[in-house]
Amino acid sequence: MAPSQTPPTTISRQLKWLLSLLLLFHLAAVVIPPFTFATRTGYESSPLAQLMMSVVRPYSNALYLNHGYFFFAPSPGPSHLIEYDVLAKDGSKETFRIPDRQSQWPRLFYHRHLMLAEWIHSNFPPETVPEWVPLDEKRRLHEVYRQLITSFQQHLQHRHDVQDVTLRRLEHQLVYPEEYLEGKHDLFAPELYRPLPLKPGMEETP
Amino acid sequence: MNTQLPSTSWSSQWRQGWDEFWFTPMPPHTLALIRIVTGAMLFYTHLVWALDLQAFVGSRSWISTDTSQFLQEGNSTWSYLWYISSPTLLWTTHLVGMAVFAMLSLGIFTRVTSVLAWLIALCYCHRLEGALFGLDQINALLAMYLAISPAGQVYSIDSWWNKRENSPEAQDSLATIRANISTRLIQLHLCTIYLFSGIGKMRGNEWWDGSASWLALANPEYQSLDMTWLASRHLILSAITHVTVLWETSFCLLIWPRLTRPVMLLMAVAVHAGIALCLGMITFGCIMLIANLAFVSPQATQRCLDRLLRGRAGQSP
Repeated sequence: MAPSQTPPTTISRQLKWLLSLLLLFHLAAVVIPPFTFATRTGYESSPLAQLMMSVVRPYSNALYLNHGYFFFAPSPGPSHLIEYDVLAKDGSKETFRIPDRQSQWPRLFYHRHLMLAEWIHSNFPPETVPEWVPLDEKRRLHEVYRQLITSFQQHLQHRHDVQDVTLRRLEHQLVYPEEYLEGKHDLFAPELYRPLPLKPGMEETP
Repeated sequence: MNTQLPSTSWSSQWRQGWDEFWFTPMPPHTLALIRIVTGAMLFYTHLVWALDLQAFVGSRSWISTDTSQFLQEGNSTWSYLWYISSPTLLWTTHLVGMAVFAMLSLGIFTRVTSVLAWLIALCYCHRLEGALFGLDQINALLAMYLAISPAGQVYSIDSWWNKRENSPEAQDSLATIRANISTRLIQLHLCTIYLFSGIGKMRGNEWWDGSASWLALANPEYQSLDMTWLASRHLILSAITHVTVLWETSFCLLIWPRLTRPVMLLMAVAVHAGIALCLGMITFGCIMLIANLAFVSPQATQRCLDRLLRGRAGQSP
């Protein structure tokens, strides 16, 4: 294929101005969400970040640009899993876990289930919320988590065709280099799975 | 004789630089390569959803339709998947979506399929909050920038058909401002991603004390290659940790100069190949490398692909 010729620019000055403004807005919508996320140290982001985010939020949300990009950040912590018991009609109990590397293949399929389990964990309401946070917002945190757990339970009941499913949250603790060198080689040892509460301790009051 | 040089004000220099950066026509060859592999990745992503479609996007899925809409309330998002409850209709729309992604990759009716692919990808992202990760973020942004690009002009069924029919499109110049704008947007978006990924890591003690790479490599849920033999190699572990942060935070500066760009791109290959091989995120590693292609000049892409195609043509009997 012969190299192509580069024609002279034919774009009008007015169109350049319009495109430039659109580009600047779009770039703002790309940069402001991760900036807002990065300024979040406690419960809130910085006031300036919140102000800028309020301008671009509808556009960023609609175009799926609202991300922090905190990959394995601030720390690559332990993974979180969901374990559940299914009580069959004959009275037998079977336990399942997600994600499950044995039954979920290919890798991307397994990873989707890992993300679902992590999603439940990340939406577990925090133990303490600053007093100045409006009650509606505290209620929403609990309602989001309640809806997620209910959705999971109903899905599993439908999937296994049972009336009842008992869910549990687990944290799979990491083995540090010193522990590994001392002989702790089994990364899947049962004692590394720490149960976490399924229901938040801080129940919302109407 | 007046030998005074014309004065160039500071604002004029800015305007000129802005014009050169955004409005210089560029050939579409790199975008076409990005189109081929992004379309294929979108196809594969949605093939995997299809392994348990009802469990992911059905009405009684892991995150049910009602819950998904509740989570997205007030977020200016929308998905047609919220309004489909019939399994037959769900499968039909899903297969149509996969056909669109395949057409994007092959470059069939690209002007239409590129926009459709982006909209379909967005709708799945809005529906599937909770099951998504970095792969979907990059899929969506590449689909978005391809939708505004002339990525179907070359290496596509469209271009083959136009040449065959000797249509007016075949006579158009390949270098366009649209191709340049799309490429620049991918480049700047990638710079943003790496910068904030690096800043995020800088907020964690483990990324400073050098232990973060072990914590990632020894995480059983992510581990796809046993790298625990590194447990006693503290220098290697801390080097991997620090180089990762340094590379990410400096990417937005060092990717632009001609001297440092190849180094940054080689490191991108190392980092993302490492993520793919050791942390099991093959798709994420691949899509990040696809996005990094935006920093390869269309002339270099054209030379490589033409050599490859000529080589294959030469080998055939």
